[in-house]
Amino acid sequence: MNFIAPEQVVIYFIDFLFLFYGLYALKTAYQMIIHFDFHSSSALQYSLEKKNILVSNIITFFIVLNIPAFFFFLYFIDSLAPTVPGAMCAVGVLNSTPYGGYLVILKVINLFLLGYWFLINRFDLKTYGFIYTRMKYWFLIFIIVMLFFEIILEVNLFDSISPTKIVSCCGSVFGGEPKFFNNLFLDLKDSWSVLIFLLVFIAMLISYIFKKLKFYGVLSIIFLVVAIYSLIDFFSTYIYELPTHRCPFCILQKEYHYIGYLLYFLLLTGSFMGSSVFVLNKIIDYPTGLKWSKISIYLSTFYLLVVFFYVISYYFRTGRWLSG
Amino acid sequence: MLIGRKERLFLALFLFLDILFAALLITLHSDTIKIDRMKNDVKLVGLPDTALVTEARFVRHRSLTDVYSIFDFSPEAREVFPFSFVYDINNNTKGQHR
Amino acid sequence: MKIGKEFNIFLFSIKLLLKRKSSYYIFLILMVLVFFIASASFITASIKKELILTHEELPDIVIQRVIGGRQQYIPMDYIDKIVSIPGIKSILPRVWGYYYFDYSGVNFSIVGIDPLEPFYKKSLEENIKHIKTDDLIKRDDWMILGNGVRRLFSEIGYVDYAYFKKPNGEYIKLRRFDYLTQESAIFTNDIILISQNTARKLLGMDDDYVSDIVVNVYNKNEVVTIAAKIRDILKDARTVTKKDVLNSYQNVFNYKLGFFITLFGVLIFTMMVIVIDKLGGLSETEKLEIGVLKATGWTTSDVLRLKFYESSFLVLQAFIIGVLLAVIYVYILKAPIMMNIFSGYASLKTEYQLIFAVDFKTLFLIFIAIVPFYIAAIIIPTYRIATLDTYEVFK
Repeated sequence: MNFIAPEQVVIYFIDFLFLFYGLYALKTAYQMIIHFDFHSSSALQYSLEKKNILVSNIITFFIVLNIPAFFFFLYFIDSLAPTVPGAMCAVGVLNSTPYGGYLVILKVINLFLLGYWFLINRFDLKTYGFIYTRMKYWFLIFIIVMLFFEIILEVNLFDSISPTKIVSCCGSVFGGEPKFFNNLFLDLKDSWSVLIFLLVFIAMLISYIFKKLKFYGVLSIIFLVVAIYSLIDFFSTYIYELPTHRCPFCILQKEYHYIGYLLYFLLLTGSFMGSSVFVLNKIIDYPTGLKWSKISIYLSTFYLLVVFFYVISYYFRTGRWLSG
Repeated sequence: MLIGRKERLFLALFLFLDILFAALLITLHSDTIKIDRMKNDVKLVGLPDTALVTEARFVRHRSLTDVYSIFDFSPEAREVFPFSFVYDINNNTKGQHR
Repeated sequence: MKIGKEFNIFLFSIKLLLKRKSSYYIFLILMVLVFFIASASFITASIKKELILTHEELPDIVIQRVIGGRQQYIPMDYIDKIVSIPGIKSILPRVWGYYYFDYSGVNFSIVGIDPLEPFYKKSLEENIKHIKTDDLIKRDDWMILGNGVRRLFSEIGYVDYAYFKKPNGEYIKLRRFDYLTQESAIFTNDIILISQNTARKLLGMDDDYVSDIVVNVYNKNEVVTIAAKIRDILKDARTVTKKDVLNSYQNVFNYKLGFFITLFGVLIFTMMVIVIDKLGGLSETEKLEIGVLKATGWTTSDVLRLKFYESSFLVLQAFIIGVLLAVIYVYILKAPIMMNIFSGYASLKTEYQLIFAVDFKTLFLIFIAIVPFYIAAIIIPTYRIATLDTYEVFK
């Protein structure tokens, strides 16, 4: 193991907590899937129903811990940038290893999965006879395997960060050189992304007004992807006020008033709430779905206003648009 | 009422300490006079590094010296901050007047 | 209504906390732990901030002469060779070195300054109030002391005069002229400013030699190019740019990080011990409390929530009070004992001024290293008791 900074010890220890409780939850999940039978009145069934509460508490704790841990991870990777030659922000550090990009995406996916599980669990405990229990625990096994994958990737990432290898900074990664992030997000040369971003948002708005909740859920997943795409391609250049600086991570830095944390918080929460309406459409009841999509649309609108604020204030201060 | 006199006092104490904490952070944050004086003196002297450890020049002005400077003094291991705690300081300093 | 219920559970949890004696001990242990780690990281954060902020005031390029891996004095005519390089704003020869003071076994840094030089004249007048630079020009036997040297001299009775030994064994008598401020003690603690002529005598230098040459340039982006040009002209010269100094500072911090990783290791193992201790089961009083609650009709999730509030209140307050004590200890009491860890054994002891450098990152680091683990340790044992049936508890 390669220790770079004290923060890493803390991250490993959080991973250890995940591992410990994850294994415990895995064992419980196995018992649940094999033995759970609502109509039985054995002692085993009685203890399993009690364990249900414990597992739901553990997962709640996971979520409460995972959200700050995720931002802590981003912050830590960002603060490593000066020690990796050539890196100006988190992208350089993440790109210096083959695992970085996948790890961040996996972390977001895991956060979403944990959130979905939490919701399923809430509705499951409300039903008579706990009808979703077996499905819930299959899903839990999947989540925990994903979490283990995340931990393995994380250890690999830290092990392969080397202070001697020269990496390319965000400007060149998103600027044109074929690199990992570029392969992932296709070609970023055109500014079509803003138009698509706006179109998706308008579609979301319409589907919300006409209460097509399932459709809204699908759109909010697309919205997340398109929003990040357009953030890299278009909006970030206005935040940095540099036509060539395209980067989704530099906005997390102090020079830009840590605006990135707000943006990502709005975007992730909004699209999580929206998408859960679609993903859990069999389980979630209509009034809750309505409430959640309402919060989701508010958050997405707020996100939109914040990013467009940068564009418009730039226009008012300088009298022209950035083009690059 | 669920809460007794003792608990109320206790909660008030902790609330007070929390507010004190926040206030202290804010007041200490706006403290910039010292750093200006430091900057002036550093400008006058023109030498880098802190005067915390002054035993030898490879620790006093380590930015201005090179790696070989350690051998300037003596071939033995000299006093450098974290390692030195293994040795008994009194024995080590005897006859060290170079 | 619902918030009211939660708040009542919270209040009740505090009531239970106050009743139990063990909670005071846990609070104390956590607080002391937070206090130690927070104050150690505050001190380093302060020193780091001071170093990085003051490094802007250093000269752009320092030219040294290195022969055979050893630094040598530079002949004065080196200046004439580089004077024609375009972009150079000023060139200043410096005379400085170390003086070993036998009596107390400490090293001083002797810096020779020339009050006729406009740069020195200006910054002397800025730094020391009511200074008359004319007095300095008239005579040669003055000295301006850093704070640590001043203390040392007044302890051994060098009140107005001090004697220094020249390399040939003769002594010179210098008159104390003024002090440097205590605020900058962390950088100037061991500094003695004397005139350049006296410095030459003390360091045993010839008149046409200097210790190093300092170059300032107009355009800061060109520093590296100009340094390369200087190395091109003066073959035996080594240049140290401001950027190199900053890199060297960064190395120091990386090196000292090892110390902090060890400290965090201690923290984490202490947390581990607490966790394992908790996993062993709750105390009898806690069991009894939960039994009574269950008997009076509390549900399992209510009890779990109660325990959650209890532990999070305990650990959060321990965190806040620990950090508060650390702030008071480091920035108001000036870290009386801990600062000695950071200074060397033979250094001139003094009060170092630490500027305030509590950043969100350090606080968050300590927070995330302590709070989740304590709460995590609570989950399983509480669950075990909370799901026990009432009669089993009272048995």
